[in-house]
Amino acid sequence: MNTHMHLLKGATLLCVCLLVTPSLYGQGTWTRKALELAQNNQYEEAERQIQVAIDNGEGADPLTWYVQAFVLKSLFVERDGRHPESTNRTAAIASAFESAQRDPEGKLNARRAPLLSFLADTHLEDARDGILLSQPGDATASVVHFEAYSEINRHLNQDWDATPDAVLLDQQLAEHAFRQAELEEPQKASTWFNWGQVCYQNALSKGHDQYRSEYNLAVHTYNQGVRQFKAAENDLDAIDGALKAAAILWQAAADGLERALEIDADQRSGYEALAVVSEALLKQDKIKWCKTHLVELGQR
Amino acid sequence: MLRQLCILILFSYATPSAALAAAVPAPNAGHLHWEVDAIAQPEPEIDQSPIWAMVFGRYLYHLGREMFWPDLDQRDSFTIGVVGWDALAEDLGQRLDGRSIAGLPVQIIALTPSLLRDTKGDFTMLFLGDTNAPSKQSAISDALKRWDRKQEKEALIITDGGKIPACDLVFKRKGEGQDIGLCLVQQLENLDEKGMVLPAQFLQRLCP
Repeated sequence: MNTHMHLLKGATLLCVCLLVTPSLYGQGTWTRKALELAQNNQYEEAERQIQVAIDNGEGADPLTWYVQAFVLKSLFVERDGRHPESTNRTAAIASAFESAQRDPEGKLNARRAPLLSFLADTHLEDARDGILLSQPGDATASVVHFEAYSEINRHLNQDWDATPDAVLLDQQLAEHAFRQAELEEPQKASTWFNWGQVCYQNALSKGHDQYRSEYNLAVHTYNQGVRQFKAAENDLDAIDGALKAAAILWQAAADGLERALEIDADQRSGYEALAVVSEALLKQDKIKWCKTHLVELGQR
Repeated sequence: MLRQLCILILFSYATPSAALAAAVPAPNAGHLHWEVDAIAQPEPEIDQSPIWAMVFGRYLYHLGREMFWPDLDQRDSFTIGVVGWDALAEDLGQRLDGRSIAGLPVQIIALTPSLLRDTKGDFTMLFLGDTNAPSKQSAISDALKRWDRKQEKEALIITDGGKIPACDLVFKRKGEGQDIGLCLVQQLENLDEKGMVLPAQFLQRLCP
C-alpha cells in the first residue's frame, strides 16, 4: 500500500512538472498538430499551426523550430517548385539555424543536418543555373546562392573549406563568358572575353586548382587571337594589323602557359599547348623545349 | 492499475522530443553532382588552326587578285600549285572554293616534290613549301628543274623562305613573339623575264 502511495505521489509530481514546463520536453500540442498536418501533406495549414506553436511558447523547443524548418522546406519543394527566389527556403534555413541554436547538445543533428544539406545543395544547383544568367561584371544570380550554400556548410562543419567550390564557380563563370565571347563575335566578344579573364583571375587569387585556371585562361586567350585573326582578310594592312593584335594575345597565352607549367611541370597539356602557341609566335627554341619535355614525360 | 498508469505516463513523456523527431520524416538529402552536371564545361581545346598557312594563304590570295598576269586570257583556269604544305593548300581551297580570280575559276593543286617532278602542265602560281629545311631544299630544287626542264613554264614561283635560283619571290616569316609578320624578297631578274611586277601593297612589304 505504501508502495502504491509512493508511486501515485511520484506520478502526480511528474505530471505537474511536465504540465508546468511543457516546452522543455517538446510535447507541445501545437507542434504535434503541425506535424500531423505536415505528414498529411497539408503544409500550408502546418505552417500556420507551427507559427501558433511558436507564438504560444513552444518555441523554446528546438524540435518546434525543426518542424517549422521541415514544413517550410516542404513548401519550398512542393508548392514553390524549388523556385530559386522562394522565401520559404530562406525561412526554412533560418528556422533550422534557430533549432540548432536551441539545441546545444545536438540532439536533433541527425535530422537537421540532412535537411540543411538538402537545402544547401538546392542553393548550389541555383548557383550553377545562375551562371547562365550571368552578364559581364555581374554574377549576382550565382554568387548569392553560392554564399547561402557556403553559409549552411560552414554551419554544418566549422572546418568546411569553401575554396574548391568557389574556384569551380569562378571557372564555370569564366567558361560561360568565353563561350559567349565566341558566340557573340565580334560585336560583344571583347566585353565577354574581358569578363572571362576577370573570372579566371578571381579563381587564381583563391589559390586552388591554379594549373587549370592558368591553362584554361591561356587557351582561351590564344583562341581569341586566332578568331580575331581569321576575321581579317580584306587587305594586307588588315591582315598585318590582325596578326599583330593576335600576337599580343598569343604572347599573353604563352606567358600564362609558362606560369601553368611552373605550377605543375608534369602536365602534357601545358607543353602541347605551349608548342602550338610558340609555333604561331615563331619561337623555335621554345618549340624544341616543349618537345623535349613531352618526350621525357612519355618515357616515365 | 496505478503502476500501469505510471508506466504509460513515463513512456509517453520520457523522451517526447525524440519520439516526435522520429515521427518527422527526414528530408531527401539527394546529393547534387556539381562537377559532372550539364553546365560543367570540358577543358577548352586549343585551336590547332595552322596560323602561318593562313597568313601565307591570305597573302597568296591577295597577290593573285592584285597582280597583273601576262597572257592570262590564254588560260582556262587560275591554277595554284602548292608543294609540300598541305595545310596551305587546304586553306587556299577553303578560301577560294567556288570563287574566281581575274574572271577565271580557281584550281588548287596540292603536290609533293615527286608529283611536281612528274607534272607536265604549267601553273599560274607555284608555291614551294619546306624550302627552309636544307635537307628538303635540294629535293624541291631538283623537282623544280625537272618540271621546267625546257624552261618554258611561266608560273610565278614563290617559296616559303628558302632562296632557290629559279624562284621569283620569297615569302619570309619575320620576328618573334609579339613582333611577327611576313616580308617579301623579290628576284627582280626572274620577274622581269616573266613580265611581272609586284603590286604596290606588296612592294611596301619587302624585307629590309
